Amino acid sequence: MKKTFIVLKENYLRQIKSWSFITLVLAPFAFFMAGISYLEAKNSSDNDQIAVIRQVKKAPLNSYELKKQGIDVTSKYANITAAKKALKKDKIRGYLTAKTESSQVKVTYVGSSNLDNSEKQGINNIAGKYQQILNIRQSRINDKQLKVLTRKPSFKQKIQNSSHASSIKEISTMILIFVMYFILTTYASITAQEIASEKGSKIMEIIFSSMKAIRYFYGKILAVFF
Amino acid sequence: MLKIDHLSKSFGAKKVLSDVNFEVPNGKILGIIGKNGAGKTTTFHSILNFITFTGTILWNGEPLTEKDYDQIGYLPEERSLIQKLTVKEQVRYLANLKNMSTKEIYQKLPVWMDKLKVKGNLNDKISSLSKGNQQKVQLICTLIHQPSLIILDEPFSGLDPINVDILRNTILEEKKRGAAIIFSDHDMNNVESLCDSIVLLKDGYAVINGNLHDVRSSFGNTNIFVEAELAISRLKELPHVLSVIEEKDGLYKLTISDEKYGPEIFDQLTHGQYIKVFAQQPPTLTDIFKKEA
Repeated sequence: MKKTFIVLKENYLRQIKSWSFITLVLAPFAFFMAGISYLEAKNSSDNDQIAVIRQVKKAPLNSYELKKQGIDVTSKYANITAAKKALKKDKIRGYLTAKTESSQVKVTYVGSSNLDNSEKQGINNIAGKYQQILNIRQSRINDKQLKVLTRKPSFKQKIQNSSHASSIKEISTMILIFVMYFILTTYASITAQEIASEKGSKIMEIIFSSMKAIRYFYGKILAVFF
Repeated sequence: MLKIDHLSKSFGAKKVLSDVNFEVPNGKILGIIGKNGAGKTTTFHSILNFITFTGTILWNGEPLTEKDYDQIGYLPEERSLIQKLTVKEQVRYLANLKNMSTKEIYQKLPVWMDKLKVKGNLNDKISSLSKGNQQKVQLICTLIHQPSLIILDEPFSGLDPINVDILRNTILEEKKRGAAIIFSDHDMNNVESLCDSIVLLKDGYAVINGNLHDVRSSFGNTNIFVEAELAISRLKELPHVLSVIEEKDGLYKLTISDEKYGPEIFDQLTHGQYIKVFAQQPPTLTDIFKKEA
């Protein structure tokens, strides 16, 4: 037992001086820092935002409603010229203009990349609502008729677990998988390195003249594990 | 005392050791000689319990157990230390495994470094030492715990003549201390100068086994050294002479078929001829090795 402990201690001390071990310790921090930096950079930069240009006072689209739809928009550009300059300098992803022509809402997006489906749906929802108001005004229907026309189907959603709990669970699973993957790859690499260096030498013969192979094996495995 | 009885070992169908017997009393040195693949290292591995075998190996009358490992000092054929460690760390690790306290190791280590004239400091990395100095550090690891049984597998290989002398003296000191020593070597001069007894292995069989002096004598005084101003052709023409080798200028070594022909050859050579040296001796270990191995 004493000799197993000596092997464990020696190998452990040798491991903590190795590059593999330093990588094992520092890598999660490095990954964490890289992740934080990435998110920070993503949040702080404007170039993922879409500028909303209000050409008229009662424009069909406004940044408040767009943000409610989950679209990252900014209203700091007052006109198309300013927005065009910002787009050219890659400060924004694109800009949106909306106007009403012959009782029809016309929305235009100019940008460096496509809008994704949720963004398109969000813009359509807002523009659609505005268009509906215009349509109702045009058709001159009474309140009763309007009520009938605007009747909606009933849709209820019942969720057993809260979405908050399930997302925590999901994140925990991801972290666990990552940690397990990292430990396994590092453990395998350290073990392979150790076997390769010892197979190529006769140090084992000297050690086995002092203790049983199985005790040495236990010490070695535990040292790598710790 | 180490006693080996009927030691046999096979690897599959190949028999590597067959009924090998020998013993090494405390304070004696046994040399195991033989050609490459004769079974020398397998014998060592059997003693150290690295491999299974048939027969018995007794240490002081008892089979070797894990407890006895602390009394063994083993130097393998290929030198190998952990290159990343310092001299101090390496010796401490291996000596700790022999149940030696760290305090005692640190006390003895400088003495051994000095004794073996290792060029380097205790805090030098093994990788920074020369091959010869690494070999000396490995020898320190083998001997620092004062083992009772020392097994050295070709300890002289790769050493220069000065270091061979240092190692030879160290082995003799260990013998004087009372350790039973077994070693193998291909240089018969080392074997002859150190060993009390020898075992010559041939294809796993111990073809010669016994006291070195007795072994040599058993071959008879069949070597004659002659120093005279003679033509080699004349020596070759002498009766019962099997071979003539000119060792150096004017010194010849004659091998005769039987020691009884020595006086007859002496008569023939001295007949009207001045001879500086005429010495009849048993064959050297090298001669025996060449003949028997």
